[in-house]
Order: sequence, then structure tokens, then C-alpha cells
Amino acid sequence: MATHRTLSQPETTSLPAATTGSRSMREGRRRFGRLMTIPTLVALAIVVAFPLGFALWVSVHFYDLTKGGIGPFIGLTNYAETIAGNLFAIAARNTAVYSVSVVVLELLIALGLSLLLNLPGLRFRGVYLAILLIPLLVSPVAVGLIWRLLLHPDVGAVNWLLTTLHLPPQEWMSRPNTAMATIVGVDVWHETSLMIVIILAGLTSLPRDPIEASMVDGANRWQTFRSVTLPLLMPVLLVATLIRFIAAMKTYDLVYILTRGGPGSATETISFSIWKAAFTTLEMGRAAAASFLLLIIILVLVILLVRLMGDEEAEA
Amino acid sequence: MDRTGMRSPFGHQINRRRLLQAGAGAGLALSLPGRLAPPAAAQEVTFTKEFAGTKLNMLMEDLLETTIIEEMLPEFTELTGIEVSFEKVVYDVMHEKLVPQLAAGAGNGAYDVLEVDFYWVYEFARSGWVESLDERIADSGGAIDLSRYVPATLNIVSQADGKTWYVPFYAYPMGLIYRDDLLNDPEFQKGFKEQTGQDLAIPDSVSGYVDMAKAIKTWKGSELYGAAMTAQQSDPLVMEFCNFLYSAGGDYYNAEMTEPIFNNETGVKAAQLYADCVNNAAQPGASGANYNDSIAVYSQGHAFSSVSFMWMLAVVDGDDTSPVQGKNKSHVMPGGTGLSGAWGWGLPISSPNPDAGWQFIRWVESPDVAMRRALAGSLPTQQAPFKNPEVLAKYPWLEQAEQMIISGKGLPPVTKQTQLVEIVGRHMADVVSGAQDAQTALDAAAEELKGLL
Repeated sequence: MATHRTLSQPETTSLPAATTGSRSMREGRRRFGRLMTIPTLVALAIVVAFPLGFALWVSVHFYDLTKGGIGPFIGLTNYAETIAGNLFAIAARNTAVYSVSVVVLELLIALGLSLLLNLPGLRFRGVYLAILLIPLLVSPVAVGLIWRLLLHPDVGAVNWLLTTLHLPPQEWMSRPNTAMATIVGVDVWHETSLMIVIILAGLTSLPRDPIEASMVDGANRWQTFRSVTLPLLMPVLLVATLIRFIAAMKTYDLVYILTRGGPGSATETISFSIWKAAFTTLEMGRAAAASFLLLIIILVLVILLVRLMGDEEAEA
Repeated sequence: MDRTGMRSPFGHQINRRRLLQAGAGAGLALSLPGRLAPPAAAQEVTFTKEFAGTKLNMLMEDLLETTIIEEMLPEFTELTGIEVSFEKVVYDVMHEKLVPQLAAGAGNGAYDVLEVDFYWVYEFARSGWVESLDERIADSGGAIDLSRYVPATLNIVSQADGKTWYVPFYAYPMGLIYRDDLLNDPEFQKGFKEQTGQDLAIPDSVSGYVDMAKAIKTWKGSELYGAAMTAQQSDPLVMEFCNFLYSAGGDYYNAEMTEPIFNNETGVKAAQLYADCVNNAAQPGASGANYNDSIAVYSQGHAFSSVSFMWMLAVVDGDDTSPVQGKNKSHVMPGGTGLSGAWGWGLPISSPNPDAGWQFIRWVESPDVAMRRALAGSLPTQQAPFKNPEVLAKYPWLEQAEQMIISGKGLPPVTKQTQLVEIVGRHMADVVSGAQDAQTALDAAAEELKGLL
């Protein structure tokens, strides 16, 4: 305290006017800085907080568009009815099956391809990469339409190929045993590129020393990959998984174009059922509640994955 | 809802009316301006320039009918000083775009006049989104006279709950389209007789039709399927299935609209017949096929018949590349009752300019304009074009179309008909795919249909 007083006293008593002025200038700058954040905060409030808040408000009210505006407060009824509904359970199961399938397949394929692309001395790396990245550049709607044509039961190239190989043609999108697998396959074709970009970036940025040291110590390629490369790459893999998982949980476009949730409800995802609730049955309260349920599910998964990521990083 | 929207196997989106635009309309559209020139006779309906300077916005499906009207709009502007702007979109997005505008409150919407499909009739009316037109019609001095219309179209797309909400303007009934050349070919008849032991003729029942279609596929294999079908979930399937259900004597609800009867014996039989037809009489992949798929199969000469919209006949007969061009005829759905759809004009409560909008409806539905639209290829809802020799000479199938409209039926009068289509489509897809037996699926559907009452 004494030191503090000794040090601080002269400052307060004998600082030249210029120093006092610079402090007030700093204060002024801080205040100005805070002021400058206001437009951003307002913008965020308008574009993020307000819609979320409004959706939350709607989700706890009776709101059927055909019955007029927002009706009475009904608490968690919309949530309860959504969860209790048979279709939501089916959609949740489908979403889980779909998300896990696409993420696992895309991760494995992308990791394998990224390792190949990262091989030292690989010729035409740029060409391979460019080809592999093409699907990433196509919009999901276009992807759906392209595959709808390729998988067309009568004039599709895939069935033509099967027939040429003396295999029976399939009704890919209209049979319960093939519809979900078809959508998963199309998503894998489309989204693996994104995984490749992320994983390849991670691979190329890994430090070479530990890898070279393990090889000097006599480890073979598999041992080096398993014991050195993979642990070092783990944070990147988790980020890639996280990004894809969140996107997969929200998938709507491919389902809409390829199967419309069918046959029956075999490929109906939560996002598709939210769209149906909003635009087919016009039950905005139910749709908002389902949206929040999806948000909660994704949030929980994200928190779990982020924690897992933190643990992995700590271990690394 | 996938009402008319469909994904083409060729990668673009198409709908049944766009097919009409592409087919029957192609040749007609080339000479549209000349055809649509106003006749020398004066308009019966008179207009003033009271609303001159007003601009009307309308959301319209991008189809031949819209093009026909659009070509005629300068006449309307000249008569009234009102400008009209069409926002043309594919059917798929219409409902999604309309609903927020309709719910926007009085005068706050973006659209001044509505183009209303037959299964939005109750939803829009009962939600209080559209204006009852009774008073305006009564005050119109005969400019809009509902007695001019085919009465069935009034039931389908005009009146609900004792009021008139819309003015019908375009009909699209469904029925049987078939290869008339094969039906009258002695060789084909002989082969069919040998195959089935029966004479080849237009069946008079749904089961008869399914038997005939299956027999043809069994006999001819991939050379000629018995039926070109559209069992894609939900809209194409439900539109097609309605013909089987109605003609088999079934319905979704009882006459009093107090409970679903969809899952009764007749309904289950109709569902079984439909699934049987899709799986054993139709082209491969029919369970996922849309209108474009089935029309491609039929117009390439690979199917004997198709239960489809009447305009499909015009599309095939208008297709110069089709080997079956001019070889087709139509018939009321075997069993007697097909699905009949139609579009109507309505005035939204949220219309910023309802009075000017009404002027547009008066003009577009005036007898002269309606007749010229029919001559340009529109399927009319007013009676006069069906009796007009010039129209009939140009479109001889209009006689069958009128029969289909008269004998046809729309969807049941529940508020959320869109949801009805979704429910039925989802459960019927299970029947077609074999995921559930007909009784189980229809029981589940009936349970959900209860919720719509």
C-alpha cells in the first residue's frame, strides 16, 4: 500500500497536464470504442436475439395460422405434443441415423483421401484435389437434382450400370430399405470434400519433427499414423466432425428434393418435419417448439464435442 | 405439399401445367398475339378509369394459362388504366409465399388478387384471409354471373360454407387417357383376348382397369406397360389415388363430415388396387414417379394408359416427337368418378387494392375474355366455351373434359386440405412400398384425418 501510495501520489499530484490529458483521452477512446460496438450489438440483437426470442415466444403460445394471430400462452404444451408425437420420434431417429452415418462415412473417407493427398512427392496433387473439391462447389439442391436423375429407376445411369452388370435395377428413393441409404450416399458424395479440406489443412500444418522422429525410431507407417499423426490431428478431426454433425442434424434440402421424407416417413428428418409443421399444417407454435428442440439437441451435442475437444487438446 | 410441383428426371423442375405449356401450348403460343386480339364485337362488361394508376400485384403459377392472360393484359390496362404485374413462380413455392402475405392483416399484403388452387379453398376462406365475393357479385350487374359456370367447378373451387369466395377460372379434371389405336387394333385385341380370355374394352370399374393394365404388362413386359403412373409422395400419389378411391365408391370422410371412412372396406380395397396397379401394371419406378416421369413413359409409347390430368392428352398429342401423337383418347375414370381440380380468383383481405383487383376479375372472367382464353388453350370453367364449335373443333377432347368435371369430385371440405394430402400420401406410400398392409396404414391415416375435422 505504501509503495502504491508512494508511486501513485506523485502521479496524481505532479503529473503534467499532458499526462492527465492522455489519460482522459484514453478514457474517451474507451468510451468511443464502447459506443462503436453499439451498432453491432443492436444489429446482433435484431438479426439473432430477436428472431430467437420471438421463436421462443411463439413456441409457448398457441399459434395456428389458420386460427388468426398468436393465441394464448400454453406453456410447454407445444413441446410436449411435439415430443409425444409419433412422427417426431421417427424424425428424431431418422435424423440420428442419418447424421451419424454421414459423419462417420465422410470422416473415414476424407481421412483416407487426405492421407493419400498428403503423401510426400505425390504427383498431380492439385488435380486430384480440384476433382475432389468439385462436389463442394455444387449447391445441395443441384446435387439432389443430379442424383435424382442418376438414380432414376427407369432412365437413371446407376440402374443402367446395374443392368449392364446383370444386377437387378433398384427403386432407390421409393423403397424403405434403400431410401435412407440413398440419401446418406448422396450426402457423402457431396460433403466429403469439406472434410477433406479441413483434414488436409490439418495434416499439412502438423509438425514434421515428431513424425520423422518416430520413423527414425523404427516405427512403420501404420505405427506412425496411429501413435503420432492421429493424436496430433485429433483436434482437427473433432472440429471437422463438429461442423459436419451440426450441418447433418439440420439437413432438409436433400430430403426435400430426393424423397420428401418418404416413402411413408422413412427419411423424414427433424428439419423436414419442422418445415411440414410450418408450411403444410401451418402450426407455427409446433414448428417453433420443434425448432427449439432441435436447437437444444444440437447445443447439447456441441457442448459434448467441445468438451471432448478440450480434453483431447489437454492430453495432446 | 407437392401439389403440382415435380422434379423432372432430366434435372429441372416441372409441373403439370408447365407440361401443358410445353406441349399443347407450344404451337398455340407461337400465334398467341393474333389469337388473343380482341374481337370486333364490343365488350359486354363495361369499365371505368376510376382506379387508373393503380398497380396490381399477383402471384401466378408459371403456366400456359398465365401466359395467355399476360398477353391480354394491355387490353385491361387500356380499359381501366390499371397496371398488372404477375410474379410468376413454380407451384411448389406458391403456398409458402402466399400464406405470410395473407396473414399480414388487412391491406398489408403484397398481392392484390389471388390465384387459388382447389385445395386452398377452405384454408384461405376459413382463416379469414379472403373476402366473400357474394356482395361484389350481386352488385356487378351480371358482369360476374356464376350461372355461366359449369356448376361442378363452383363446388370445387368457388363456394364454401354457404358463401362464394372465388371465381373459377381454370379446370383440370382427371380421367383415363389411353391408346385408342391399340384399343381398336384387331391384332392387339386378339393378343389381349388370348392372354386374358377377355375382350379388350374400356373397363367400367377400378378393379377392371387394374386387371386390364396388369394383363397388358404381363403380356407385353417392358415393351408396353399397362399404365404410366405417378406414385411419388405426396401430391402426385394422392391426386392419382383419389381417382381409384372415388371410383371404387370410397371417400375420406362420411357425407356428414363427422368421421373418416377412409379405412373402411372400400377404402382398403381401393388402396390395395392402387398399390397393385403401381407395383404390377406400371412402369419400373412408378412408386417414385412424378407427372413428368409418367408423361415421358406414355408419350414414348411405353404405356397403354394413364390415369392423369386431362391436359396430359393435349401434351402428348401436341408433342411432334411422340410416336403416339394423335393416337390417344380420354375417358371418365373407370368406375365413374375422378378427381377434379380447378383454380379460382380471390380477393385477399390483405389486398392493398381490392376494388381495383375486382375490376381485374370482372375483366378476365368476362365472357369474351374467357372465350378467347379457351381458344388459346385454357381449359375453361365457363359453360360457353364447351359449346363453342370453334373451341371444340380445335380441342375435341373438351367434351370428355367437361364430363370429367361434371362427374368428378374435389377433396373433402376440411380446412387443411394440404395436410390431408400429406397424411394420405405418407400412409399410402407405405402401402405402395409394402412397408405396411393397407388396413394398418389406412387405420393410421384415418386416425390422423380425424384431427382435421
